[in-house]
Amino acid sequence: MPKVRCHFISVIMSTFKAIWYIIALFVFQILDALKDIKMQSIPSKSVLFGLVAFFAVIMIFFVFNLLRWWKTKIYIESDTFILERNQLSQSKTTVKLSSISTVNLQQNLFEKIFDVYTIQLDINSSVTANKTDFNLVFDDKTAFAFRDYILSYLDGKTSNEDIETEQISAHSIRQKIKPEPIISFSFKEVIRHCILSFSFVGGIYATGVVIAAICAFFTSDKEMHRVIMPAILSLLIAVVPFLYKSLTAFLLYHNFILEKSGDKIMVSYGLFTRKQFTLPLDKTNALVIKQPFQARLFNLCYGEIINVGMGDAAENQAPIFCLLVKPDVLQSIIKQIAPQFILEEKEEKSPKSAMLPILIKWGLWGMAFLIGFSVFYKWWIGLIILTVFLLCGILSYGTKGLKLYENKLSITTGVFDKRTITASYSKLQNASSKYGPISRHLGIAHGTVSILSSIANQTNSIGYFPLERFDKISQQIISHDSIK
Amino acid sequence: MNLEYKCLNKKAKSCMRLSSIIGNVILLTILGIIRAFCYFGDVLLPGWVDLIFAIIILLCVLQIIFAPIIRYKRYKYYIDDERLVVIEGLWFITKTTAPIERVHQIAIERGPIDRMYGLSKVVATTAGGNVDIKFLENQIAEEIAENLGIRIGTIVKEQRSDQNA
Repeated sequence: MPKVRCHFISVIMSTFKAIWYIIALFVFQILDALKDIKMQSIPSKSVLFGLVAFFAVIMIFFVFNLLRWWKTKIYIESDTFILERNQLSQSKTTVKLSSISTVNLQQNLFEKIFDVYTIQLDINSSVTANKTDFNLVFDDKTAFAFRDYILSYLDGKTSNEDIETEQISAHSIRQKIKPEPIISFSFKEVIRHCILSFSFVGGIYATGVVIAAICAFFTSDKEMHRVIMPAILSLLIAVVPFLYKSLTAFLLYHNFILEKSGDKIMVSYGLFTRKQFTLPLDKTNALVIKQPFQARLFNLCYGEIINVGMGDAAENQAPIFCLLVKPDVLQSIIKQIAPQFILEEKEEKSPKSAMLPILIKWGLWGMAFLIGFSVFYKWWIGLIILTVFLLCGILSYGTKGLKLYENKLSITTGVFDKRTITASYSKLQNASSKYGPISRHLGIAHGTVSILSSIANQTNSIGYFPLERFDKISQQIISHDSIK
Repeated sequence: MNLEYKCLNKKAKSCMRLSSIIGNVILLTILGIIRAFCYFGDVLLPGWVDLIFAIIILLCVLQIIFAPIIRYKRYKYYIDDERLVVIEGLWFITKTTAPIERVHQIAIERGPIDRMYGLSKVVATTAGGNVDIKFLENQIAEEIAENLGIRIGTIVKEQRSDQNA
């Protein structure tokens, strides 16, 4: 493959990402200057100085990114992906194509205008499991050519001859592969997913903050307003990201489509930023089935796929492969895409004796709040909090589940939301069990298993189960060799 | 399955005790400074604050005396060709198991207190996190690290020959 550069638009995007706040200040300065000119007076010295300073900073960043773009070449040579940089410091990053675990295409609104795509490459490595390894912006032909070449190499169909990007028709290659549609979600189903996957705890917190702010404002006198207003504003600002994420969920999952092509699945969604994930199933470490609290009331769940190397922004930590559907529909989808992760049997629930250590743990936290509120404020608030904590303990006990199969295990945890992870023993890295004086006396323990994943999914806790289960898990991990 | 676990050298107990003393002294110093600020700054505190402070001091003393004995008694480890198992804890006992085949890196670490007693920590890294064997004599730590390193190398060679076949 010939050496190529990223599209020029990446220079503007990098500059903007780095210093968007300075650009914003520059724009405000221009507006101030225009206001002065409109009033037929010369802009003040401070405004002129600000304009010059901000412009200089923007130009420095722009020129830096321009030189970086000019000196960076990307190409594929036999079975390696190479990124060469020849600035003041030279670097040559070489990655074996076989170690690329995912190749994803993304196109936000800005990129749509210029008909470019961002191609995201993730490497099969625990060292970089928490970030996307390469983000490259190309025009549509080059982006699809890169993606299709890497995917066909991973499929083992690539010949040793170099392929000219100009000679490839990206659309004709995609037509040859022809992915099989598995499921797509209508406007109504996406809205349902957004509403029912709204964070319950986050919603309670946001509602509580707003109510507390309103009560504090109306119950205090005017002099106190000057003191408490900044605190109230800070609390409200803390609520804004949660509200923003909840409201933009629809834009994120608009036109959700799941397709399968050979041993890969393709997930695409997004209104303004269209994302396309191509996930090789042989690099899948685990599947996660999630049930947010509201969705549990309607018996709906959605699925996430844990693929080694995935992980930059929070939504990319474990990409969703299916929005909220009934459990049997989700299992049929899993049967089509990854039958090795299907859950054939019902899970084992925690024994009744597990209720005691769980309630003790939650009760201790509740007691701390009860004592604190009794001493410093109103005792009945502490009592309400203690009751809520005990309720959480009961919900936590009811949610826990574990099932050991011949080649895999499934673990269910959660309090309000329910999360079930299914992983094969060969993908588990280590296991631990933990017991205290009470749980030891009851013959139960709780523990964790670790998989190769980003931090959010690396360590997975297991509830209280008989000690023998944990010995069996350890034995199964040892007897199943890891799959590379 | 009954495994023959190994115990730590007696020096580990003294090392644990010294670490415990240092940790508790730092905690009590911070609390003492806060208490002194309140006293000299004429900040009135309820009477039970001093009672709680006295209880914390008592607990720290008990922890320094008894915690190392219990932790030393409970700390066990086991290594063979297949697995690495570590059992440790004070109130809550944790048993961690890692297959040798999943370990891809071995390191030896020695903190300042470890060096005073001639002890080391062997850190076995898997893709899902670390498994540590602490308070080992330097020579034993070196032997374990070398044996694990040879074992990992053998496993990698076997895997490569399987792939080539």
